Amino acid sequence: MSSGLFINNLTLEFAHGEGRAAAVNRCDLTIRPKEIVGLVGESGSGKSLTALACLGLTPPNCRVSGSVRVDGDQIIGTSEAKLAALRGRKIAMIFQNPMTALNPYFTIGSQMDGVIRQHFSLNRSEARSEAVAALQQAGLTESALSRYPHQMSGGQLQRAMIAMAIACKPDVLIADEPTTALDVTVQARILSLLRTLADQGMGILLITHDLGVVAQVADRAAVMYSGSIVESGDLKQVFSAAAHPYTVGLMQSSPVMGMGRRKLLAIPGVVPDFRNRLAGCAFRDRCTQAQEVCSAGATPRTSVAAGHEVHCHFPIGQALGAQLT
Amino acid sequence: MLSYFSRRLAMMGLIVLGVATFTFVLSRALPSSPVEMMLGSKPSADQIQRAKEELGLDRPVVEQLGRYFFQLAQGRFGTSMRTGQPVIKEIGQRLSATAELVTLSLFLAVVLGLPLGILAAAKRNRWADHLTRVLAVSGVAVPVFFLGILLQMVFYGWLGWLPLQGRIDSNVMLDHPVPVATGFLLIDSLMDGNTAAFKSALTHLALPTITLLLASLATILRATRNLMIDVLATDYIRTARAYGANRRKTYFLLALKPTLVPLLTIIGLTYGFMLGGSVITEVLFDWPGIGAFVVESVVTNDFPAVLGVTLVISTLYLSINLIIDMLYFFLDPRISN
Amino acid sequence: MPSSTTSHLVPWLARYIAWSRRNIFAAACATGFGLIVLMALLAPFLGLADPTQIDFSSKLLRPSSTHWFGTDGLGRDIFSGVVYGARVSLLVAIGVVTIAASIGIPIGLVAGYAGGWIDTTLMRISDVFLAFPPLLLPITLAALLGPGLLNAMCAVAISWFPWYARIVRSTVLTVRSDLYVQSARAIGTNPSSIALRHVLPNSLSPVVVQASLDFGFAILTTASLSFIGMGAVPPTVEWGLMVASSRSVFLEYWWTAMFPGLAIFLTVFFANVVVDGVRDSLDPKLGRQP
Repeated sequence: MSSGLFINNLTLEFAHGEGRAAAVNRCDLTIRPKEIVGLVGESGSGKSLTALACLGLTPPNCRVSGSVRVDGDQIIGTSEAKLAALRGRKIAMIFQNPMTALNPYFTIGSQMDGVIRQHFSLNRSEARSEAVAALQQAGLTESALSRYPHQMSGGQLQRAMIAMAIACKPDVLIADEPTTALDVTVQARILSLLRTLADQGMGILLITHDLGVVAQVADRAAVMYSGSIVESGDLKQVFSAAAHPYTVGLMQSSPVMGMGRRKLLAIPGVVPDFRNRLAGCAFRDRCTQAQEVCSAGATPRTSVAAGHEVHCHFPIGQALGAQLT
Repeated sequence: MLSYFSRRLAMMGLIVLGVATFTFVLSRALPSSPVEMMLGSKPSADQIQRAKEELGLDRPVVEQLGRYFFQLAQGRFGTSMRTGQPVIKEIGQRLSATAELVTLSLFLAVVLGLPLGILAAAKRNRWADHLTRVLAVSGVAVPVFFLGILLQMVFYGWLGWLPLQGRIDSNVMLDHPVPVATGFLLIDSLMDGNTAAFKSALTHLALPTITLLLASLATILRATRNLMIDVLATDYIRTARAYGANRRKTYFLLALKPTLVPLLTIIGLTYGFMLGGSVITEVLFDWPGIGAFVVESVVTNDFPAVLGVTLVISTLYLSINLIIDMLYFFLDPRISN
Repeated sequence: MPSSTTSHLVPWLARYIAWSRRNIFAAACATGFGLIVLMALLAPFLGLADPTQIDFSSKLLRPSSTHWFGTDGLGRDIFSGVVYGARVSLLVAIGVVTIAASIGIPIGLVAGYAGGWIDTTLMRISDVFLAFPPLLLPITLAALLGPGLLNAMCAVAISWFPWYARIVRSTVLTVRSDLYVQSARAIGTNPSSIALRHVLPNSLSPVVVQASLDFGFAILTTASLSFIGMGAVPPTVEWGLMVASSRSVFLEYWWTAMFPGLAIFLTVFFANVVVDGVRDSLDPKLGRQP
């Protein structure tokens, strides 16, 4: 049994008019222990839904197909009871807005106690020690146990969430935009905490729209556009040898520190709503090199280099991003 | 927090004074003169004038008001012109009857409405939910007096299971008198081991309680359902699920407190409404409570009684609202810390 | 942007119709309500018996083909009483809400605009009104004003105006701090035109909500007042009064209480469902499931 998170052919569909529309379209992604995979995409690309699917938490009107395996356990189609045993324990998730993600009516300690004793048969004081250990690892002190969420700052709350995740000792952690709601300085510390966790053995799926975040901590990167993964591979590879026009466009439109003066080029057009997606390659109406063949059928998966794949008819060969590394 | 509390209390005192002034002015404007009532048949002009002087009714209104406040401060609510009894004594006797009815109704409304509301939230948009919605709208739409009459028709007229009116069978009261302890017949008769009185009190309580409880049940049910649905959709419940909270029980443990705290305001409001709604019920069921007392006093222009009872009821109503607000302080961590 | 009533009306109507199509129950209730309104409007033209006609020879007759709902203790035809009572009740509802709003809205405007001690005084006075549990104040006021349906309506309306005052006042306070009003003031637009063009349309929505909620309550409250003898008096035909006059006989002659009571229930029920629908479709999010 191999360890990690294995997403295969994941498709998430919603009812639309007479038929269905796929918000996430046949995604493949693998996260192994000790690595951080950054999943990059704009809002509306389907990345958060993908994360929810990995825990079986998609909304009831969403039809899920494909396979999501955590270590050996299948998530899709499994009963709620079995999923409850897996959630937190094997795969945990931290959410974007820490201010609303914790119950305001209970103390941090009480919430952690509930979660820890859900998965481990410990008594109160044993659970408390576990909680304290996890809090310390996340950079908080024991005093956090008796505090209510409204008494803590955003950064502290995010750490508390991470502590909750740590305490369950999962193999995989999904972090959905963990730093978006936080200050830049706090951001750096949270990211370095994630790095430490990965080094200690966790596999982390880091979801973000911010290329800079990915560049700081990820080992591998995957780029998502309108429900599909358009490019994935080793971080340096993807950044220095971006092969998909969208990835290139993203790089060119992102300001990066230390780059010196550079004109930011926006990608013309807007991200389509998944219900109005075009047939063929979803990006083709914004792509500078789209041709006839792009509008028909599925885009082929090409291997640009070892572990570096792109879904495009015309992958870009230039080393455009060399300046970014 | 203490300063907030004392400010609210002071405010409440001010409003009560306002209520007293308001009702006092109103009562002086009531159509028929209380003097005529007191003096009975065809009094002479002299008699009327003397009575007015005695009662102080010929003084300017402001002076009368001042005198009234002075009396109030001494705890004297005056004497009922209808019964000749001190108003405060009348109110005391009648209050416990209403309190028993209203407390029982509210208790049942919560005990039934809360679980049903949670059920409706859990089975959202399925037939159970729609049913509770219809029940909720019906509960509010049914006129209290019509519901009472329907119940009387069915349970007394047709089935003969329950008595028509009154608080207790007068024969039972004569043969098995109940010593007054709490003023609640149910409790007092139990404490006395008086099964005949208990049974009679219970059967007499049944119909008025059901009548009074329907509207509140409907409100509490629907409010619980809506609040619970909102809570279930929050981020923090999603987090709980993400960490393995599965069984509905855990949901309802984690989701219950966030639901109950705002629900408390609604329950408090309901208690207040019942104080008012009991008027109709008491008139219909000949229940010796303050609601009926209000109507009796108003109809006979018994203004000391009207003043007294209005003050008492309003103060109660305001106090309940204040208590609910205070409770929030203790229950919602975001406010108390 | 300042809201204009007409620019809201058409899309709202479309949303309401779309919503009704999806929700059969609500549509049925809307139809029911429409029928009651129709019945009330057409009452004099339906060739019904005079509901106030006393005829001891036909008292307490069971429902039959001549008297669809039977007759009451004074021989009056109950069916025509119910139909004519619809006119009364609907008028009462409209009247109470109109009067309450007419008193409350100007007071709210004044309180919100004037601020300072005028505002505080007006708000304390409204606090006194709100310190009474429902029904208590209407009863006292109705006793003061004397018997009669109009007096009862005024009693209820006067008890309720503080709600409208508060709604309007809070809208005024919100709108005053809105940027577009501040800019209007900066250019020197005079306050009353600001009130008319900005405040009133914005407070229209919550006032309409309150009014629609009060519609059913107005009917219930005045019927309750009539029931305890402080509202309508004969020869006025009013449902609450009809139930009150049945009190001595209803146990044996069920129809004397049943039909007028049912009439009140159904009218308020339909009205509340319709109102729920109006509120749901006024909500631009349409997120909450009906």
